[in-house]
Amino acid sequence: MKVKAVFHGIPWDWLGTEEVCLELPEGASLRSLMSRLRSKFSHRMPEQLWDPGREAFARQVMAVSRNQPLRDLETTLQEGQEIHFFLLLAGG
Amino acid sequence: MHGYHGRLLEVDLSTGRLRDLLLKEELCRNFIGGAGLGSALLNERISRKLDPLAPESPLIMATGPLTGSPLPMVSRYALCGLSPLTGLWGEATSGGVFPFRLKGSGWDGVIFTGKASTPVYLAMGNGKAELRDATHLWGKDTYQTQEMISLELAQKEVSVACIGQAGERLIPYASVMNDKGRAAGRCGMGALMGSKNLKAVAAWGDSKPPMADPRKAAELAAQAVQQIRGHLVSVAFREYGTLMYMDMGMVLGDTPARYFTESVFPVSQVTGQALRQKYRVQNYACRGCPIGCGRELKDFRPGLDVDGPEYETVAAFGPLCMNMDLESIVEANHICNSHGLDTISAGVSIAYAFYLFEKGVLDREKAGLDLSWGDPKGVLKLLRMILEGEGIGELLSRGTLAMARELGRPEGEAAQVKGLEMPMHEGRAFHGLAVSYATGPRGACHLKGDYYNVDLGSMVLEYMILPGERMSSAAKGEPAAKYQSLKDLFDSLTLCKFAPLSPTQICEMLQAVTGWQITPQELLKAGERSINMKRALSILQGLKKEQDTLPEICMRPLEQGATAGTTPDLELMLRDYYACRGWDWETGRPTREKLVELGLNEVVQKLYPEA
Repeated sequence: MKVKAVFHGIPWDWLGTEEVCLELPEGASLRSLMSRLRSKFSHRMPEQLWDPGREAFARQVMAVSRNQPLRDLETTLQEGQEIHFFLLLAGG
Repeated sequence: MHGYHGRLLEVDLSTGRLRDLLLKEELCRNFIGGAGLGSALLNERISRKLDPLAPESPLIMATGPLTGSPLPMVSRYALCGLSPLTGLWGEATSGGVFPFRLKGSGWDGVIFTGKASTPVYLAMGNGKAELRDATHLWGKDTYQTQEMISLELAQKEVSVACIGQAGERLIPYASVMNDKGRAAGRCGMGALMGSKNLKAVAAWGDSKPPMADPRKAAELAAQAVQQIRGHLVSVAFREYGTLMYMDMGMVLGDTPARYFTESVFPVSQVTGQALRQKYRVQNYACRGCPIGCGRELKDFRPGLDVDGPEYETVAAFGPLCMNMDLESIVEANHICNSHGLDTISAGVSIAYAFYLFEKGVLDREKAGLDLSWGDPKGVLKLLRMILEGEGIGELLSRGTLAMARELGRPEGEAAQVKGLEMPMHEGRAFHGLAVSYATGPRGACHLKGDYYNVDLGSMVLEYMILPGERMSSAAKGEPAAKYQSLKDLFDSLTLCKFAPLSPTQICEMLQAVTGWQITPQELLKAGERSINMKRALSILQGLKKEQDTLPEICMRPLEQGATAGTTPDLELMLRDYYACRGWDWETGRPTREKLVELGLNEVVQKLYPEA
């Protein structure tokens, strides 16, 4: 299945691209997507963006899809799903 | 006493008399410093309802115990008094170098009362202070004022907090500016200064009170700097400043558009990246801050560098007015900074004018111009009319509640809580935020109730404040109350809210500086005490329980966007919040038992005189 990862702000700057389409196995999880992204962008990804302990992006990187944050790394992705990645940050 | 000079400078502007007011350790321990201490000092000086602009209405500037220590992100101060905008408790905080210099001058803060017969400014440094003539500064903007005073005092390291023309004209949401574009923006503290003919405060010196354990403080400072520097969020703040939130805000439905009636807009034109692509950006930091989220835009006009706008400002002059012209937003920010005007209240009032024009309440004749959503010229024209008090601008300068009342509109159309305009985060997107806004000690305040950070994943384990479903109102009142107390405490300490430090770490820092052995629970109690003191002050000024609400326009379910069809269950959350706070559901007052528990016995006598 195909999913689209869209990067905003710092993730966009660091990875050097605004979005990327990836082919993943049916029923792939958010963690699998992150893992694929890490492989694809390993040459650009700063150390701070990846949390080796949880084998995923650092907690401060938020995945959002269909207007809802995806907190569970085991969330199953759907064909055509668009996942937005932000750095968790808010202020005045 | 460690961490404090143990004295405030008390200035009677009517007589020109300056004297020291000694601080008792018990008062400091109970209220810490900054805005918390300010609330206790104001309570001592007010026994009846006061006009905020009356000469006897005090204005308090206060630093915290951590200010001036080697700890990072503590160069902040609070300005407190009765708000000319809301008539209730008012406070605003700012960072920069000024707070460090204020403490370095040899006092923990200043209390102003009275009114000078002609404009003056206070010069204080190395333990000496004097009032100086400011007649020649009256009418000057905030940048000119800071520069002229610095030259006049010939002190290399002087730092100035001042008002611009907005404060002189007593615009109820005038701000106080320091270190160029750092703003104590909200609640109209600039008008309070203006009402006293006080143009500025200039501070210098490096006087530092003794610390209880300097070695431990240095060790904690080094650890904190390392932790903050390495934090991914710090990197982001450094890179884009607060504006980085814009695109995330829209995706989550958290950034309001079209005067709170929409949440969808062409976001890419007003993001942090857009700003960086369009302008040459240079970062700057408050004293002792390893982040440096401030930004200056070089050569905005030939030879003119301006301060970069924060997220709140871009959202208020941008999407809220459906204005996607970044240049006009930067210009509006610069106009507000130079005249000393709160960008949030100004932007919301202007957006309301656009809304009223669309509804036919305003027309070309009444407004003085045609207003169509998204017109950058209209935004800038209205802003200038506010500052000049010209035509409809005079009405806009009094804020949205006054606008609704004067134009015969429902008050629920005015986007404010208790008279303070709504910030640029949506209660519809984060229900916990809605109850924070409704109960905020100064009105709608995103800084004391940034509950979006909780439901986006931040947690405070010491207080069991954990992320929840952001668009659910269930079980939000209690954590929102605790989180509000914690964030209130930051303004007492005085600590930057971007400091990613836990309550346990804060307790260690406070102990190293003051010597107090304090637990995270005791720390939270100090925040709760401050919230209740501010509540009591507002009740004495006429606050009613019915004002703990959100305006209808900010509760109406939207048709599109991430929050479409939803609205917070405010009553459910308020009941939970009141129960946690120990406030009476019928009257909105802190109960006698709660006040006694917090040691606020003198407040019991004021709120319950019959007892």
